[in-house]
Amino acid sequence: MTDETVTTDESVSTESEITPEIDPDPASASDLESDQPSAATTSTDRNGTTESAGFNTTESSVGEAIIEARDINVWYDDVQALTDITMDIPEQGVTAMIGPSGCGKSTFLRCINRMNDLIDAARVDGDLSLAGKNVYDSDVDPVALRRRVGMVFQKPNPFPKSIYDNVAYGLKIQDVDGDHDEIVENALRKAALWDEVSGRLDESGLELSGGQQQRLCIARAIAPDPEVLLMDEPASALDPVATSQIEDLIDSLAEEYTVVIVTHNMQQAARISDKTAVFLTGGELVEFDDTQKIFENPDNQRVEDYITGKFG
Amino acid sequence: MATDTNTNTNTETASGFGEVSRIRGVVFRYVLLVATLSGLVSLGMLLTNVAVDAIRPFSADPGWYATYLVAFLCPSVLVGLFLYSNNRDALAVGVEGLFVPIAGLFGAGTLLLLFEAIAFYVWFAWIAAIAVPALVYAGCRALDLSTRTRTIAVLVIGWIALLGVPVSRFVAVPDTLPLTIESIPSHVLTLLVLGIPEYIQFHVLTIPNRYLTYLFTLALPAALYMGHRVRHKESWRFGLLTSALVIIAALSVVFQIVLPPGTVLILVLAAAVPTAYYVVMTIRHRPDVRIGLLFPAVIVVGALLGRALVWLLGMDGPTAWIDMAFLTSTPSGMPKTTGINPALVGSLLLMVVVIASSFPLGVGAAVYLEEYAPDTWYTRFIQLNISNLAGVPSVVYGLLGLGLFINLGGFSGQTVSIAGTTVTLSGLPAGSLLAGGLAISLLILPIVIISSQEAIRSVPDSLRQASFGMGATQWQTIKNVVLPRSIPGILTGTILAIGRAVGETAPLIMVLAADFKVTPPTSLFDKTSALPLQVYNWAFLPDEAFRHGVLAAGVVTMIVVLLSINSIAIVVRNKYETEQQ
Repeated sequence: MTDETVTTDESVSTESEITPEIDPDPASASDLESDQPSAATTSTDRNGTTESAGFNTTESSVGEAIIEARDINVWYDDVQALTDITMDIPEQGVTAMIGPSGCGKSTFLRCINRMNDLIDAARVDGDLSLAGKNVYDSDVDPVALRRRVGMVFQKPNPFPKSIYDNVAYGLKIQDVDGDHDEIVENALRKAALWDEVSGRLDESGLELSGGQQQRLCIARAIAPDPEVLLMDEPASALDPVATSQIEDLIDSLAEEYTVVIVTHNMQQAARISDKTAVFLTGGELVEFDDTQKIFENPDNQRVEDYITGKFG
Repeated sequence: MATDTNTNTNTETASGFGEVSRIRGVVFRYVLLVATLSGLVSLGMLLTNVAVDAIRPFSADPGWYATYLVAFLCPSVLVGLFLYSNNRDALAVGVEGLFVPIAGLFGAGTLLLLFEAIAFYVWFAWIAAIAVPALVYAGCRALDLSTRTRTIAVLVIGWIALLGVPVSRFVAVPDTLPLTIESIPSHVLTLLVLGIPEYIQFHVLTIPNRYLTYLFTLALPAALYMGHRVRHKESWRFGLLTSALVIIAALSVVFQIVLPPGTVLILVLAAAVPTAYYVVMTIRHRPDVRIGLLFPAVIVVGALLGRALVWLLGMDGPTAWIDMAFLTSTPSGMPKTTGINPALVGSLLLMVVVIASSFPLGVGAAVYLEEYAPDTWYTRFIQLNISNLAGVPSVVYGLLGLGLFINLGGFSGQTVSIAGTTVTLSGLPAGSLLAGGLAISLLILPIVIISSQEAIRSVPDSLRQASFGMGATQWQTIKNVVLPRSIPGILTGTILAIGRAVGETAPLIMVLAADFKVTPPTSLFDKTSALPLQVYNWAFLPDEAFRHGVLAAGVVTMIVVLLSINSIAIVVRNKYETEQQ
């Protein structure tokens, strides 16, 4: 990590959208034109070794499918945001979703924990199972579902409460048994924030820097021990140093959780993910395969064009 | 006033870039300035006149002014200028330090006026009854019982404490109970049957006096609270010490004789304790600005010194219409001895009714409209009409209050028979505290709703998303995220609306509140007077002294009340702004 090359094409978004989540296209302002495939294949690995060409070559460790999507269609009023998405997201490891703005990758992420239910205009059609149970069955309580799926948003959004109360929020509302102090400490340790905040847990979460706030949000999401962790461009509002910290963190979280991450940044997807899904305009899932395959030898011409920067 | 807007110079010049005329702009700018100032200046002149009438500054000895100039004004200004030039933060602390005792005195005065209307033994009985479920709740928390057990325990015990065991209303209890060992069982029985408030009021023969009542119900909680605060900031031992000091301060007032001990107790708790806390905390924790405390010290010492000097030298101050006697005596036919006390107490109690009724309703409506209501044509219709209601003339609300609360929409006085028993419907008594307060509540309800909606809308949606994403229900999100974040805005808006309600006259006239009443209301159903009504009454009395002197004193009282309410709003807003960002 220390000699991590911070490439200038890190998509550092400084947009300050207040409600990125309501927007079906949350990161329309992020720029993509500088993403180059050569950078992906030649950039230095986070461990300082280059033999893996920047890839996390752990596809063999990928487990059973935990999320199975079948023919998911989503409309916002009359606009179709997702078209017939079918994919199996494996248990544990990191699954990345990349694609141009407005291609529906965030929308798909929000289908998994039914956050789209909160948008009046959104309509979801199709089956999506989490651990074998279709989450769109009529007997599924979306609130109970969200308690098993953690979510981290694009813009750090800690509550205006103390650091401790932020992390303990899920424990409090879900009435989790056990020693909350210990759970909070563990979550902060896993989020690599403990050393920075251990002495000032009663300070406001808003007093932390942007990268610390995002790690606080990750700690908050993992404190109730969810099965799946959804991340909607978690690093796009952060500077390169904070971004690399978040990436390290995702790497270590993948040992324990199923991480599904939406990103605009192709190098990021290449660095941290085991599987990559490429969404293209019109809400189509064009290709979904092992990350290495997608970036080195994609089947689909449009995916290759997108990754090599010919379009997108 | 510059009104010659037709002046327009030609901008033709021979060389260079030429010039663009700005005359119209400049004229416009000054017209705006005049428009801005005209209102303020005329209002300022009116208020100055009123203040001069009320205080009569020219009736004082010149020596009186000279004494205060030397003893009070000069040192204060010098110290203020010194701090201003050296350390502005210290001056800010000094001003804050001056504000704390003044606010404390205001609070003490308000409490004293309110306690005037509430009989102390009634107060004691209700506080004792409320303390029981509160203790049960604390006990349940300490024992780590589940939320459901806790809720049931508090509700059951609270019901019995307040109202008695429901079925036992039919059990006959003795009218008088001797305080002997043998009668303890019947005491317990009576307590269970009647609930604590009624039991204490009618069956405890040794009711604590006013001073002891305040000692138990005010000094004890204040001591615990201060101890808790200090413990949080300092240490366990300091916390205990603080609690003990507060109790000692409250006890020591027994020995003084100038004022009734109950009054002194409230003064000590509301003014002296917060001031001492502020001073000690500033000295201990903010060494760089503690010099600022010099400012309030010089002002207080100067004021006392000036008072002592004019008393020693025998110089008379202004014979103001507004003084302590004016605030504490009842209205009478004599301008010299008349007072505003019942109207002042009535206005304060009206505000209590207004807050108690409009705050929960208004905030509830705002939460519903912002968080729950779907965006349909009828919610938009409701929304539009709430905005319209905010502009309805207050006299109309008075009529509504009269028709609704006093006449019950025409049904008051009619009899209905339900299941064999005949009941005569009757509205609230005309001009009663409750009817007046509810009428004013109707008036400010739209303002409370709209300002609360603004505050709730300003909570970033990303926080709601974060909460929902954690698996919170809508209720949990509102309770834990939306309301805590929006409460400063809600409070500010509500307090400003209350400020407006203080001056409302028309609804009170319509519900037949008194414009001249010699006793403050003692119950919710008692006829009340109010400040603006009393002022209105004085304006038409034949005696010149009433129309010029007493009226002005009443107006000054009203404006001071209004400004205090507005300053509460400012303090609340500033406090939360610094806390949240």
